[in-house]
Amino acid sequence: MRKLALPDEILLQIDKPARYIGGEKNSVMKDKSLIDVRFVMCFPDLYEIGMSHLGIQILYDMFNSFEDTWCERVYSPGTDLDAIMREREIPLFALESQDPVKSFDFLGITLQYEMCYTNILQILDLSKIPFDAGKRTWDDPIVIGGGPCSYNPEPIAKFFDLFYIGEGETRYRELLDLYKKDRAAGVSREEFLHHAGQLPGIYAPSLYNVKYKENGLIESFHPIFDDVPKTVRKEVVEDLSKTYYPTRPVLPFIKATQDRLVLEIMRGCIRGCRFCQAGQLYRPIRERSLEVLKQYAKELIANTGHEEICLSSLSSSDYSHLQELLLFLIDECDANKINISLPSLRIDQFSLDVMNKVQDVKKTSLTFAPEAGTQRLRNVINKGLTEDDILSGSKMAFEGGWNKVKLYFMLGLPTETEEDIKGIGKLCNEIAKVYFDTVPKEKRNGQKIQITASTSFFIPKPFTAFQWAPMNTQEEFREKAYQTRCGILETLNQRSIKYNWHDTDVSVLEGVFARGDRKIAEVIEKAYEKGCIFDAWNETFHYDKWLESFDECGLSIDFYTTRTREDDEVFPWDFIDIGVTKAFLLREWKNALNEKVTANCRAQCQGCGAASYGVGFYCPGGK
Amino acid sequence: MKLRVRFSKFGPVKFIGHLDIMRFVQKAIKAAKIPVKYSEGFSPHQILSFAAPLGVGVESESEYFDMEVTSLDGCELFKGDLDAQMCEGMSILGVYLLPEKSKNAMASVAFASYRIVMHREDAKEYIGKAVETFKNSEHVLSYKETKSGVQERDLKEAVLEIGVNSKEIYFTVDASSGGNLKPATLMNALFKPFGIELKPWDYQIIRTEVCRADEQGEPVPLIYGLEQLS
Repeated sequence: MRKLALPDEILLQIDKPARYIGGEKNSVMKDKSLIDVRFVMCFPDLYEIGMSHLGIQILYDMFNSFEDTWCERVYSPGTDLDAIMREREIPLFALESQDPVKSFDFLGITLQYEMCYTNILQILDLSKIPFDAGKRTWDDPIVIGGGPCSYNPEPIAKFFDLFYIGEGETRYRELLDLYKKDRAAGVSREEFLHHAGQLPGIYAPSLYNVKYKENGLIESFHPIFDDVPKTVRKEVVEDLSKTYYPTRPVLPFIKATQDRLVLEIMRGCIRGCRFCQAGQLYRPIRERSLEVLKQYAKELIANTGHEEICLSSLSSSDYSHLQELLLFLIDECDANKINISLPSLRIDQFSLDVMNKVQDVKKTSLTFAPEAGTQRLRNVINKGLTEDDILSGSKMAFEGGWNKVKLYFMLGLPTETEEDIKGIGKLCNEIAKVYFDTVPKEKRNGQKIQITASTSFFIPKPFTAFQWAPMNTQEEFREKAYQTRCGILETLNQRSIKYNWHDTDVSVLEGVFARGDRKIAEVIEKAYEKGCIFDAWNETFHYDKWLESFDECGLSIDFYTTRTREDDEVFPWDFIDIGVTKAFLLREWKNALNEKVTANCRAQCQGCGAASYGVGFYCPGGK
Repeated sequence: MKLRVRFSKFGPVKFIGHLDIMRFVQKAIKAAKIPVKYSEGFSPHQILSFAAPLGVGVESESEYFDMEVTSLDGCELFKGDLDAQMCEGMSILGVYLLPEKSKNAMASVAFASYRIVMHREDAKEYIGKAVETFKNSEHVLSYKETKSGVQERDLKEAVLEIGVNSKEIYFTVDASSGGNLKPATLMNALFKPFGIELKPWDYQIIRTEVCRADEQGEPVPLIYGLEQLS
């Protein structure tokens, strides 16, 4: 039996000790003496959050399929254990072997959202790995980042030896082979990083130099060696049906946030919403074949005994075999007493039929994401959903017995006016009207229509058409949320409408990190020293400490958030090539300002640049 | 048809709480393709009954749950199939046929037996004396604070058997739903006369058996008299 890193005394006094013991079913144990490379994969948040993430499961499965490699996991210790580990100087350990993180060859950190940046420092700190990558030695693991936030790695570049840009399935084998070769040859850490930085998809921040202009903008960004590429091109899996898939996922003992099997059906999105980063990052669109998905579903069910399965993609309604897949799953799940958790589907007769079969109509709600209150603004953001789609979809659903509707909107979108904001209340009111017109009183069974409108604040992200856009100030955001509320209260059916919104502080920081440059690292370090950690969690978020940190570093938040960027500004992330070109995004930015809609990939190729990978499902020349 | 399953739990999984073990077992039953019976309704669940919840940190040589199955076909393989779905530290020890009219596992529990491995050095030398003192006392009172004031209980009435065997304390105590005696309560009472205040991590509790009462009211294991299928 494995020996745990923490004594019983500690485990019996902390919240959810199961987070720290490993040993879950399907977790992988290997004989250390037969292993060349030890990799520990980190999701810098609590175990329950990290265990819900498919990406890590895919890479865990891939690494452990390599005979010479053992991949383990580590998550952020909760604040209770954090305090004890600091007090007693217990080093952070990996779950499987319970060995210190510092003893590993690689520490991989997935960057799923910006607000986890201080947690990265917690991980390094508790592992006793220097924050500054330049100060590390071969006694420290190679710290490598990946995931969506690595598409602008600059704010945290200082803390990482390497970043893997793109989909992890393609180049890790080469990186591990290079590592084995270089270690055997006895090269220095710097030299290894220099070699690694020449591999496709690998970005080694220490190999690049940034020069800033007096106004703080980037003057130049270039490699310091001639043999290091000027741009790093995103890695893409060519055939999703012929790659790794974790059909034997690790089963957490405690309930993970997403406690279900995940079937990833495709990557990429045809829609081209102008605010959406994922929609650009994961282009070109690639689908998994129906046959492969059926096989995966069967294996997942057999290998885990899970009670629920869900589909994962950016827009499941656009999967070309969705109907066949869902019908197959309904049969398979019915036979195995498994629930299907449906993704948000475009509401039509088919999806309502499916929902009716797998969900309790009384309990579930319809979900729409119009994102903006008027057609004008929806054209600006290129969101194809029309008011007619929403109203006719709602009508169909009300006839089918539904009476709960959830709507998601964004506030602070470019060109937004008071009319757009009032439009949110108006749209909700129209839906309520459809309900009262469609369902006669005697058929309502005492039920009422419940509409929930939620707004989030728009944050411009790199690699979107809106990367040039100014973000709203906090005052503007608060005023807009207030206007939204007033707009709803003015409507006839306001009693049927509930409005949710969140505070703005976190959004401001997210805005800074999203489009930040290398100068931001100092602020993150400072805030961490002041005690900032778990910034994504309300109870541990301290905005005042962040403001102090910006002040002390002499950096302006507005420079990163509310400033309008010129068309030809050099962005910190420009050295990354995701296929989609800056020229295309700029064209889209202009189209947005002209309220001009761009057709989706299926309807017509827009020449975004992703076709250069040669594998896009709808791309000219794609497979 | 009802089956009673006996399993053990050792090592790191002792930190997994009762509800999480239940969820784990449900998944294992499904993955083992046991023909378990499901409830009706929109989200059907397996019909299971666990005997006595095991506290976090406690290990066990003998735990039980009951399940209803729709068929006994292949029941000689149930134990192996279920055991193949266990994790490190959990083993399926046996599958038994439960007569139709039996009370379910939870309702049947009357007693539980434990053994204690003492880790704390200064307490080790008092093990024998502590048990002797307890045996020789007419009453051993324990006090518990509840919402309605302090509750007094004579532990002598709740302890059926107690002794020492190769440096381990063993005891059988009341585990019925109304009178369950927590091993830690007894341990605290045993060592209090010697001025030793034990912490939960000073010793390891291992449950050795979960029992019902036979016709004479004597403890017998929950599988006593049942036909073993696998």
